[in-house]
Amino acid sequence: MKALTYDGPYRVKVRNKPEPRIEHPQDGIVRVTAAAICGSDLHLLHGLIPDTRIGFTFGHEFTGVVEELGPEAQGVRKGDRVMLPFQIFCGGCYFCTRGLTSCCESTNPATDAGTGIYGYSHTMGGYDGGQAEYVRVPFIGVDAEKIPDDVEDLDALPITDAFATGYQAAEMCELKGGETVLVLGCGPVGLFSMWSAWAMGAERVIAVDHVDYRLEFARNWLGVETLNFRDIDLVTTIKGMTDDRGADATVDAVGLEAAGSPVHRALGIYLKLEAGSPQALNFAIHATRKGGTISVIGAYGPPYNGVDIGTYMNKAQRMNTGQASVKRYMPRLLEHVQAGRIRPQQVFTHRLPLDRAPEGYRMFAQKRDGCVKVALLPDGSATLH
Amino acid sequence: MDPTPRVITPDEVQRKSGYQSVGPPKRPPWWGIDRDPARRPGVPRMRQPQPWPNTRFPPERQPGTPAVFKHGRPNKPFPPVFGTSCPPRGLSGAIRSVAYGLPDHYPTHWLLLLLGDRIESWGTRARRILPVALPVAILGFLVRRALA
Ligand SMILES: NC(=O)c1ccc[n+]([C@@H]2O[C@H](COP(=O)([O-])OP(=O)(O)OC[C@H]3O[C@@H](n4cnc5c(N)ncnc54)[C@H](O)[C@@H]3O)[C@@H](O)[C@H]2O)c1
Ligand SMILES: [Zn+2]
Ligand SMILES: [Zn+2]
Repeated sequence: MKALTYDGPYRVKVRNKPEPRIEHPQDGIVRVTAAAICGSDLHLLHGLIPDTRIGFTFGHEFTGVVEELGPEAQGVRKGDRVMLPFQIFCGGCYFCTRGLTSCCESTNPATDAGTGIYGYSHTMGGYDGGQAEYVRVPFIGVDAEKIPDDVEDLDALPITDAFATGYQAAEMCELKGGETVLVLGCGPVGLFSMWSAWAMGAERVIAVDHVDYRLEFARNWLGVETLNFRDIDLVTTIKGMTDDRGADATVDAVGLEAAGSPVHRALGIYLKLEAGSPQALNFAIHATRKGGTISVIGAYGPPYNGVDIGTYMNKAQRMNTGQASVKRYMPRLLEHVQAGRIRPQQVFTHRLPLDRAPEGYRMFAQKRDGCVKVALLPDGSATLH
Repeated sequence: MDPTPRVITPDEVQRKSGYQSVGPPKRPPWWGIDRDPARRPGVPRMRQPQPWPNTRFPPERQPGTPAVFKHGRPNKPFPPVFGTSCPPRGLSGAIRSVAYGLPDHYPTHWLLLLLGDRIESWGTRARRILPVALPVAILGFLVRRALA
């Protein structure tokens, strides 16, 4: 089968690979109908996630059709259209039963920091991902969510990661209604958290980025206020916009490749003396009011970062964190889609056949050609862009 | 739940912002639809324990050889299900195996893993370039000797 594979930092290519097989009685095999490229894949592409091996297939955001089932896989049938949460979880361990499927204990020996994730390095379990024609899906009966007949694949696709992540990011702001929410990063995750902040009753939503076309996308799609941090002093401006206090809650939807601080980029991204740049977090700490909430959904790597913890402590802030426990959010987000409150596929500015995935990575990474998010369509149904 | 907050007018926003904020906010028609925390699927974060539908727990052990290592925590059991893509090989594999001898709260664990990654990618590149580059270099050397 054809699959996207990692070929060393900044290089991916599509090549032939053996098809996956059932390896555990609760496994299934899914034929991929659509796979998205996520901001997290860029961290892999750039060689920032430890134990990313040559030949490994990326892709943790995908939909597909059930092709094959192991003897103990219950609850789905061959031919079902399904969407898969990006984490692989067992459904029965301490964390799964309590709802934190993103912390499952049954699928990753490599670290205590995270569970198995499709296509996300051997630090996250060494499972090949969905940017391929077929993918092995452990615990398919537990993890897979059927896509309702009236929902298109491309609307379901972001629910497996970016939309659920954005929603959880807004949820972690603990909004009661009436707050000013600052969202750092106008990538797909940031955009979906702006949508969700409105849904949870935010009074104002202020979006920040340094890529103008993305700010424009946020403004047009979601009607938020926007700021380009290259044009202004971000923290001073935010304080000025909020009675000199700062935002009530801030979402960090940027993660470890943040721009905005040459020092941190040099230390973290080029010299690897810290795990990427914590600039977005530092923006968040300074731009959030005292006693406010910071929701960290952007991804950071091990082992440590230069975060302004002193200011954070003195400002009596609270930080909520975590990978999205996607499975929990699927039914509610599908409801929003079915009710016509959002068309998630509108984030896909680019739809490409799998063969052109490396081009998709380049555009998305370099923020070129108005790219907000890329969908790869392995079954050849892509409308060529 | 709190009473509905006073909704700020676009004019006020414009006035308060004063800076670069472009255009007044346009709140969507379904604004506040999930304002009640009871409608938010992730609240409370840790719920009363309850298995997910179709769960068979504990899962049986996956047969076969894992491609992943367990990090250095002797008392942690190896999980029943694991990844098998790209098994460790060669020098990078050896470095990774040393790295995983250390637990994941040691920075050295991660630095060794990054080293393993770089060695694997340099190695791959070298193996690809050498079959072409080496003969060319040797030929060039011989030609120069012959001419000299
Ligand atoms: N926690 C989770 O479960 C989860 C899931 C998916 C993605 N993520 C993470 O969320 C982050 C965003 O993902 P994405 O797909 O939207 O990626 P993306 O790369 O498309 O978006 C990031 C955006 O942040 C902007 N940016 C850079 N530096 C900034 C700064 N200092 N301040 C404000 N904006 C800045 C970039 O220009 C870009 O538009 C990534 O780190 C990703 O790994 C986390
Ligand atoms: Zn992702
Ligand atoms: Zn579990």
